[in-house]
Parts: sequence; C-alpha cells; structure tokens
Amino acid sequence: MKKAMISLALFVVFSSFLLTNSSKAYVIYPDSKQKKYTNPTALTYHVASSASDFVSVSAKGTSAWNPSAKVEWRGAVSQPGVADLVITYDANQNPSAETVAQCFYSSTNLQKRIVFYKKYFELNNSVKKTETAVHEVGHALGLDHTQESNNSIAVMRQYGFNETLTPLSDDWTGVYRVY
Amino acid sequence: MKTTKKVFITIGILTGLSLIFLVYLDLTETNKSQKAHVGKVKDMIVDGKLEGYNSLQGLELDSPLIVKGKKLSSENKLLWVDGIEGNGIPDGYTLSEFEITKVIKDETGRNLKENAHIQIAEAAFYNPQENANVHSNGYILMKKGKEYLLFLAKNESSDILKVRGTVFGKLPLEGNDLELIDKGDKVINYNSNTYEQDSLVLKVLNEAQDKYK
Repeated sequence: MKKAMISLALFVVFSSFLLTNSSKAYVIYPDSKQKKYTNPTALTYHVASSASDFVSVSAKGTSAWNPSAKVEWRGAVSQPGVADLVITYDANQNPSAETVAQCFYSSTNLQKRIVFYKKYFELNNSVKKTETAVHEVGHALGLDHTQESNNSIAVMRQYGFNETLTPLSDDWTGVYRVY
Repeated sequence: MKTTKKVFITIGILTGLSLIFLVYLDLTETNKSQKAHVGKVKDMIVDGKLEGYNSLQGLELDSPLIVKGKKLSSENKLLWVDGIEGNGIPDGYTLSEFEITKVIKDETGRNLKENAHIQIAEAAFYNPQENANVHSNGYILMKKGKEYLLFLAKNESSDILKVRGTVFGKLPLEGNDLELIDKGDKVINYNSNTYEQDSLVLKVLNEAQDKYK
C-alpha cells in the first residue's frame, strides 16, 4: 500500500514536471509544413527592394542568428535564384495586410520569402524594425511563433515586441533543436 | 404487403441520400473560391508579425468602422511579389462583397448605412501553385450568408477595407465557433503535442462576444 502511494506521488510529480515544460517551449515547424535548410551554415539572402532601410535591416536580421554556431548567414547575393531567402517590400500594397511582415514558404523549394508590409514603416523605432527582421528570419529557419507564456524570452512572440536586436534564450534553444 | 414494404424502404433510402446530398451542397457552397479546386486542398498558415491588441477597447478605438453583416460573394486575388505572374511565391488576399446589417461605428467619412455593400480584403487566399488555402496568421475566410461582427480599417489608396488586426477583427455571431485555426495538429512542440491556446485573441473576441452578440 505504501509503495503504491509513493509510486503514485512520483508519477504525479513527474507528470507535472512534463506538463510544465511542455507548456513553456518554443515551437518548431514540422517538415510537412516547411522544409528546413539543408546547408544551414552557408546561407545567403537577396534583398529585392531598394526601399528605405531594407538593406541594413536585412543584414541585421540575418546576422543576428549567427552566434548560434548551428546557423551562418554569409551575406547578400545579387541573384535571387541562388539565395536561400528573398527579402522584399510589398510593392503591390496587399489591401488585406495588417501584419508588419510575413514569411512565405513553398512545399517544393527550400527558398523562403519575407515580405515587409506598410505597417513596417509605421513602427516608431528602429529596434522594433530590426526585431521584426530577426523574427521573420526565425520563421525562415523553421521556428513557429512561440507559446504565449514564453513571450518575454523569445523574439518569436506573435504579438508585440521585446525591443531586442537579437534572438533570446527560447529562440536559441529552438534553433539548436531545429539544426 | 411485401411490395409496400419495399416502397417504404426505397423512399427511405432516397430521402436519406437526398439529405446527404443537400448537406454536401450546403457545405461546398460556403466558399466559391474553393469550390472549383481539384484534389485535396491543403491549408498553409503563413506566420506574420502582428502588433495585436490587449483589449476590446484598444481594437474598438483603432477601428474606424465597426459593423454587423453578411458576406455575399468573394473573389480570389493573387499578388506576384516580383511583379511577374507565375514567378516566385505568391502573396494574395480574398476580395469579399459584404452587406451591412448594422452600423456600430463609422468614422470613414462614407456615411455607411444598413443594407450598404462594402468590399473587404480578407487575409486568406487560394494558391494554385500549392493547391493550398493560405491563411495569414491562421485567418479563416468568412462564410457566405453567416452573420459577422467586423472591426475594419481603411486603405489609403482604395475603398477596400481590411479586417483590423487580422484574426482580432472578425467575430462570427452565429454559434460558438470563433473560426480560428487550431494549430494543435499542425505544429510540433519541443516535448509534447499540446499547444497553448492563443489566449490574447480569445480574450479580445470573448469580450466582443459579451458586448455585441
């Protein structure tokens, strides 16, 4: 009887531990949704717009992930066809757009595409702009929006900002998990 | 007697088949843009960075137009980011015709009234390259004939309105389904398959339900 009680107590403690952890974790795209890069330490991007400060924000958004050691963005290329990531501005002015930026993907191609919308220019500080770029590059690398309880330790939060120029602890753990 | 029994069974079967057919027709009618697609249409969620809203009050203040009404029709629109049709990964939206049944707030300067028709750009579209319905941040298109409460925003260059905050600004007024994509089976979590509910959106939509439904 005593043994059964101890086993039950241990089971409850162990389950609680698992549940606590499971609700505080980054989220990774499954392969069925988005294919991850096969050569993550030799990534390049192409900036397809000369609008505003895109060139510098794209450089900051990609290189911010380089300290992970699992990922290395080697810089911009002039040909979009050979780039792992194309970064551009919504010149079509999509009338439904309420997001600052979005990361598009294809089921047949490893190349991802980040589109910045008009809301980007409405952001009132440069840190938020860079954080948006870091966030979208996180999607390109295979990270989904983190769970809300992780917002303060993740650049991959869906809503709002942490006013950071680099990924945070939850993001680093996530990208290590992906690659 | 035997013949009568056969007739009743036949009528029963025919009635059952007719009902199944009618239900099928009703379901397929909900979205014209998806009806013509051949094969199994996938769902793709495109994730974007949203500023979002912490309360219904914030959403109300930020929406120049708040209306109730029903969608009448819709048209799929593709946008080629590079400006060359068929090149690269397409962006897009769905242009929906919407009939207003009640105006709650109108600061658009258009003096919109009951029965007026407006055009709304919804943040979801069909991508023929992928044979997929693409949902911006999990936004699900409005269903035709169903009543919705919409928080809308203007576009500078046209009269086409957009749903404020994408998933924040659309509330179905019939039934309890909030029409948000459940990401539970579409994501892999670090160590479980559970997915925390999007509590911020639910909070705002629940406040809107309590106030306007």
